[in-house]
Amino acid sequence: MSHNRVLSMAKKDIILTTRESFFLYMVMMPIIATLVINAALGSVGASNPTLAVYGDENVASLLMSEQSVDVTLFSSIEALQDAVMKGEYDAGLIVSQDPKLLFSGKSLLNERAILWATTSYALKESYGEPDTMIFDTRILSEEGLPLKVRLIPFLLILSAMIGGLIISSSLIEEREQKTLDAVLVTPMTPFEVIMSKSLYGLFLGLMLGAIILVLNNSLNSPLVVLFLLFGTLFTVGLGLIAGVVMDNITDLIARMKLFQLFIQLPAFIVLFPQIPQWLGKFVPTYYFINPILEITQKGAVWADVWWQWAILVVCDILILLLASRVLRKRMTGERISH
Amino acid sequence: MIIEANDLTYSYGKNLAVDHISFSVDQGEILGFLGPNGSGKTTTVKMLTGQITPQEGGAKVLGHDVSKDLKIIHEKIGVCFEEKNLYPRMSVKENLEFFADLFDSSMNVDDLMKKVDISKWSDKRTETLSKGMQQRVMFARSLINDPDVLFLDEPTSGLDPISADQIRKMILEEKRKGKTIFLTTHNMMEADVLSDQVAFINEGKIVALDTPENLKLKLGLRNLKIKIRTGKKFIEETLPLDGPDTPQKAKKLLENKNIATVHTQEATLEEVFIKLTGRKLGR
Repeated sequence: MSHNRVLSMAKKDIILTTRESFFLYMVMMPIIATLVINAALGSVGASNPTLAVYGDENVASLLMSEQSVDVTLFSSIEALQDAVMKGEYDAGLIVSQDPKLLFSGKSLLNERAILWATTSYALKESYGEPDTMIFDTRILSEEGLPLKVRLIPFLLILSAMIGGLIISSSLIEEREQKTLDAVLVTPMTPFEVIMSKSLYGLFLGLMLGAIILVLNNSLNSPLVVLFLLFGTLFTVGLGLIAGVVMDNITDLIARMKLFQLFIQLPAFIVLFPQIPQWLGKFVPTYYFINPILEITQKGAVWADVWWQWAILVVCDILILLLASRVLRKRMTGERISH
Repeated sequence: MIIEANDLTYSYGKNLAVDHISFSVDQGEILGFLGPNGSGKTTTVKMLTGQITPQEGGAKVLGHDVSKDLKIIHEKIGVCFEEKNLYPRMSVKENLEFFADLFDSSMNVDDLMKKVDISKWSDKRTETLSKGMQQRVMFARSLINDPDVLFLDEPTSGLDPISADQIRKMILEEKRKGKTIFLTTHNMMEADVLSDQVAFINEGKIVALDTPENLKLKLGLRNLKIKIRTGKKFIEETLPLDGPDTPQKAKKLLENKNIATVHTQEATLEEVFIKLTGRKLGR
């Protein structure tokens, strides 16, 4: 395989992508959707976690001077607990001899980390406690993800699908315009064409996924990148199959609409918690988005998610084997250009 | 032999497109592959350039098997397609540079554009070019790796007479450089002017293969045309040169003092083709 040819082909695809409004729309769609959702749900420019405080006013004023949290003083423990239970605040701090930090079940993992660190610092400054503060932390109300977070799986699957869609539409376009015929009478092999388009789709899907995670403050672990990589690889396999099997772009878009419902099912189930969650486990993309949510929002570690990674890898292998079988059949028969 | 085909055969389902054809082309020769639409010309090019694999028989290009050694063959051939297949959203120069990269060619793209007279469209997207301009760009693309063998599939099809003539001149220039050229065309005049050998293909079979001159001499009718003035009118007599009583008739006519013109008339390749196949070459 020639790296130069693969890179030349990818470079050419980048040039063509940036000159086609349809491709640009596809690439920009998940980023714009993320920004719109964040703006609509009030998280853009107001990302400080909120803290309700009851007790020592010195601690409260110290916390109020912190830039990283928004503090509100409460006059009773009951009112504080009620507000945190309702999810009006990410956490409540009851300052007493045994300080208690109560987290709302709806608060996000990164918000909890900020709140824990800030309150620990304030208590230590006020009371001169040892370096490691120990205080009672509890989670009030049933843990559930806020709407903004429940939309992340949709956007992640969408960006991965766009990686696959770019591959399929690019392959179909080359077949329709017969440019692939011209490429395949050069030293470039069909394998190099497929490799180039797959790498481009994978790169694009990964970049979009990473942007979405960054915009949602969720790119906080290498494990997330691992699941993003293998999740996008799955859609790359689907894109390759679609690119070879579909006759034209119209055909691709028509079938995509149906297929998208299946691929997005796990995201749909996360969005509506009242739907039985086990239903999502029958769709491969569940093992892409569910561990990412568990890692970013619940602090899951490798020991908690390895089995989901194993299932995702098996799904990847199966889809890539199917893709290579479809491609080989086309290449040895009429080749991919016919 | 630079191109050697033996019993090449290919079917699309039940439709036999190329039916056990054999031929060879020497270095520096132009083989004109003549036939009407659907006769198997493009399928033959596709087999010789490795776009499809022969279902029976085989072929060698530059001594390499088209079914096995595609990579080596592709490094040394240039293909100009009948259908326009440039990247429409890329400029002329970007198209050529991309293909130069695929060949890892050291050829200067600016020089090539100058040579094929397309420099003035260098920065224009190919989707904005006319058919004739695109054809020239495709011809330039087929030269990007300075190939030993050129496969030109209907290179002048649909072009205006001036553009077609310029392409023909460029083909002859490549021949002068010693390149071997496989030229498919339905244009008998083009084949006659350019080709060292002509193969007539009809319904997937080669029905004749020889030099244009030989084909016309062997299979075409040669006539003697004598025009005689009678007052204000002319009478034209046409005598077949090979006719048994032609010498006597010609002698008698030539004794006439009112002869206006005397011409010999050669057969055209089209007439030869019609004689062989019973059908016209036109598209």
